[in-house]
Amino acid sequence: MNDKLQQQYRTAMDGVHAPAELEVRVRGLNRTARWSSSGWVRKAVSGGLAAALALAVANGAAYAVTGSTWVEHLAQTVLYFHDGEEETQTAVKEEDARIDLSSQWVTGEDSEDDAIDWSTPEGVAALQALVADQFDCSDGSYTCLLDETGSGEDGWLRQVVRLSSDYLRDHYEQNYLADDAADLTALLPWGEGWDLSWVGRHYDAVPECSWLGLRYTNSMDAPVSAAYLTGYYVSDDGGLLQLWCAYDSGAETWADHVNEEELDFHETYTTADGVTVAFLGRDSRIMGELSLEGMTLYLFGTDLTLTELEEVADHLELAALVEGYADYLAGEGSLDKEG
Amino acid sequence: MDYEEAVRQNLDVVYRAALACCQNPADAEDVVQSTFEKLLRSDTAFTDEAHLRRWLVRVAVNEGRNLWKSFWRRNVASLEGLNLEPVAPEGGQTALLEAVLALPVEYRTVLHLYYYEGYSTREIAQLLHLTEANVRTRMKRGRDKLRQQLTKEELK
Repeated sequence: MNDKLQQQYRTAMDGVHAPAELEVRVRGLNRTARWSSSGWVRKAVSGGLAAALALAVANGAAYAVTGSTWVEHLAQTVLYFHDGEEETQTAVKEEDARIDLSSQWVTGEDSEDDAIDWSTPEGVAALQALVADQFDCSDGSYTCLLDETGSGEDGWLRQVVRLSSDYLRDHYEQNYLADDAADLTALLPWGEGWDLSWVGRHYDAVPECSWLGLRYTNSMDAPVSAAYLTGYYVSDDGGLLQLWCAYDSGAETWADHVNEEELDFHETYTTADGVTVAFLGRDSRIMGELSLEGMTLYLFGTDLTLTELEEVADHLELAALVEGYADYLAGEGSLDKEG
Repeated sequence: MDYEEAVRQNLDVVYRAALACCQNPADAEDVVQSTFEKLLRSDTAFTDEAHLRRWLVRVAVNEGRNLWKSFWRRNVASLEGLNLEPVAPEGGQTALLEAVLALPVEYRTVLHLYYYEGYSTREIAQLLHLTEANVRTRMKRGRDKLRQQLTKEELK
């Protein structure tokens, strides 16, 4: 959408008004609810987690899978599995519209991607195009501030810094491209701590498909507000593994509600170093999830077995990753909370 | 600010966001109503008008997505088609609006948030619980589809 179209769209949308009868309905809500002109008054609504826990107790079909307590100071996402769509929706609504990433994934969003065979040259090209999007400044929504090619010693192939602005803030995105995510772990805000060497020995990294993104708000001198690291790997028999680590100062932990009927299986797995990972699977895809306060780690497997993904999780040194992250939070690099 | 003033200032904004993430105007109206019900229940300390507006848009988008996630709507509502008559804008530009609102919901939601509400891709990713890469992919696909649609219209 170019500037002219954007302006036309805004103009068109500005001309759209809510129907008069809707306005009457919305204004009428006030007659049946408490409202104070001196402030926003809360009705008795239970907290999200409390509501979910209550549901877990009340509904025999729903039960909770919680993280282990090995990092007590970092809350871990709680997954609730429900027997059917209606129960899942009820739980989500009771939790004040928290939407779960897990069920988004298993319900097949981005289904256009499902048809791609990632092990083929076309699949690799599709992955590279996906990553290349992070380095693109051509669509007018970014100003490119830096675009440089890395030397072999840098570990990265390309670095792009781009700027986007909205009416609230400037957003700086510093993106690194590499052949292997292992080459980028040292650039994570909390430094080394994610050991990808075992994965590198047992899977082939897809070239030019590893990406690290660092985010800053208003100034690149500000603390990193978010960091994303991802890498794609293929197995000998064509399975695709994606590792995804996201650190986001604005992220929160929440309870995820998953409709069990949409899964082939789910399980919690405790890795050799004591970290609990939830695995959810449907058809040829399995997702492993570890979500902590401000940080989420995913293992996405396509045409890989659960055993293979558990083996990967066992060798990611996840405990070291999370401990390093916890130390980072406790130290000078504490979360840059945005207003 | 009191509730009446909050409605006066934001009803259209919320309705437009709801249209962008619902399949039809009737669903959008339900979303608007539930959004303002949530406002009445909320104890959020709104710092200014902008904060209130963004909160309302966020809730509306989430409400719209909840609606769409229900089994019945996923499987039935999409067959109903889009009746744009009730949302025909003042002063023309109907073709563009029709083209945008005819896009698959996952595309037009991100396009609306980005181009109309001024959210960054990161904020949209947080709002929709997607990765930034996923948001940008959707924006690209949405723009491509919009371009195709508008080209078709021009050829007619």
